[in-house]
Amino acid sequence: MRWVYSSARRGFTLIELLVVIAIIGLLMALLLPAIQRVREAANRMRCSHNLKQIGIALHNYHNDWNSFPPGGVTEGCCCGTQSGATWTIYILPYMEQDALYKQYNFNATNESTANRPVVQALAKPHYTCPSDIETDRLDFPESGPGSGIQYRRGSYRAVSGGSNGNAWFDDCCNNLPRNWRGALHSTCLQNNFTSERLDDIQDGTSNTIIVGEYTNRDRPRRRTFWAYTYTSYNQSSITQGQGRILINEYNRCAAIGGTGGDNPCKRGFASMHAGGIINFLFGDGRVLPIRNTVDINLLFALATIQNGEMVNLGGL
Amino acid sequence: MRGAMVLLASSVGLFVAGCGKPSNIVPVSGRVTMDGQPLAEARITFQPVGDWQNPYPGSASYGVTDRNGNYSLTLVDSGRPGAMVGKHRVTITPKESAVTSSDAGYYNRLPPSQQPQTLEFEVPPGGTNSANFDLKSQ
Repeated sequence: MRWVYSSARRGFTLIELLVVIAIIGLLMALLLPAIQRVREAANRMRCSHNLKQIGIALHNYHNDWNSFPPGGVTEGCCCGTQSGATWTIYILPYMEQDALYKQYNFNATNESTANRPVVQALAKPHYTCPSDIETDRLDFPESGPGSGIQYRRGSYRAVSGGSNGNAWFDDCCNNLPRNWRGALHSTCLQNNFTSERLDDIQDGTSNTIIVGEYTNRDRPRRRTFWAYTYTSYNQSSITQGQGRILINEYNRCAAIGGTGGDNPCKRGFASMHAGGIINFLFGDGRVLPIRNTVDINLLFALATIQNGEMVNLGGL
Repeated sequence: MRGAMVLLASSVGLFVAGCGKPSNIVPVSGRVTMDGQPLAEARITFQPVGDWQNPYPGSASYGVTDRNGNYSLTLVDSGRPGAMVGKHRVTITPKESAVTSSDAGYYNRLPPSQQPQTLEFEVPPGGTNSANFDLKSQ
């Protein structure tokens, strides 16, 4: 056993090993948050890239049809009536999802069994933001004629317009000022609302948000469902004076309260990105990150297409 | 060993001190009345006013009045008490129009006394406990 004690073959003592392990642990602890940050940054880039793709698809759609698609088509006023198709379905051929588009039966309602395969399809990658929680799941939306049907989650909502907390452009029956409407709002047979054209955006396409992100961490059935037409599941609005609609906690938004109770919370924009960043697509195809501490009344100005706000977005 | 403890304690102390930068979030409370009577269960929203060169004036704040019309503000983003210093657009929503169940809006079929009212208020640097508002039911 003499060789064990020879200095050339001496092993490590327990203390030495512990010190080495501690140093490695410390380095890992320093490194891991950095890796997480890089992952989230990459995810955020993919989320804004998806918006860019949606913007290109909307403009290509506009080239072919001389108008943007409607935000949604409903058979009547909110809330009992069934719906037709929604903006995300209309632009499927321009998102390289032609097969899915051809599967959709435009003579049947959005809620009919005929359209189940489409509304339950995983429209990856462009309607899904990887920062969100459980985006790939099927779930039952919380309300409307489709609440008993499973829909596939998504991450992006059209900007249907501005709101005072009492009425919404995702419901085609509303008494809001016409010039508060957004670029992609609901249309129905009850009124003469039509879908919007680029030259209807009188505030300027570079001053108008048309699509944004929405998800929440605490109310899965109120998250975004990419193909569910009914009111507030892939269209949102900017409500005057209510900054609460930009937080990613639905239940806290409802508890804070304000005009319209929880209705503005159903139509919010929010994300899981660090720093409260929400990506928005502008009418000219730009994608800009906007923090959720923005003055909500400025965002309101960007949501409306004809309210006379020509602005310099230098600070955004 | 003692030297290490002193080092640790002083570094923790410095770290904590570094967090305490001067705050522009101040306590705000007050009272809401309608025609001189306390307005109970009204929702109050303070939205700091920004402009296009400074679109991020800070988090909005909110409050709910008690039986005597008294309220104090809480920040929307962090849930901590207070409001940003500076000019705010204030929306006061009486109780009835803050409650809803359906996805449809109210279509403004509310009597004037229940309509939300928008006012302006300047939060002073030291905060205030007299952010009082007297509404008119008309």
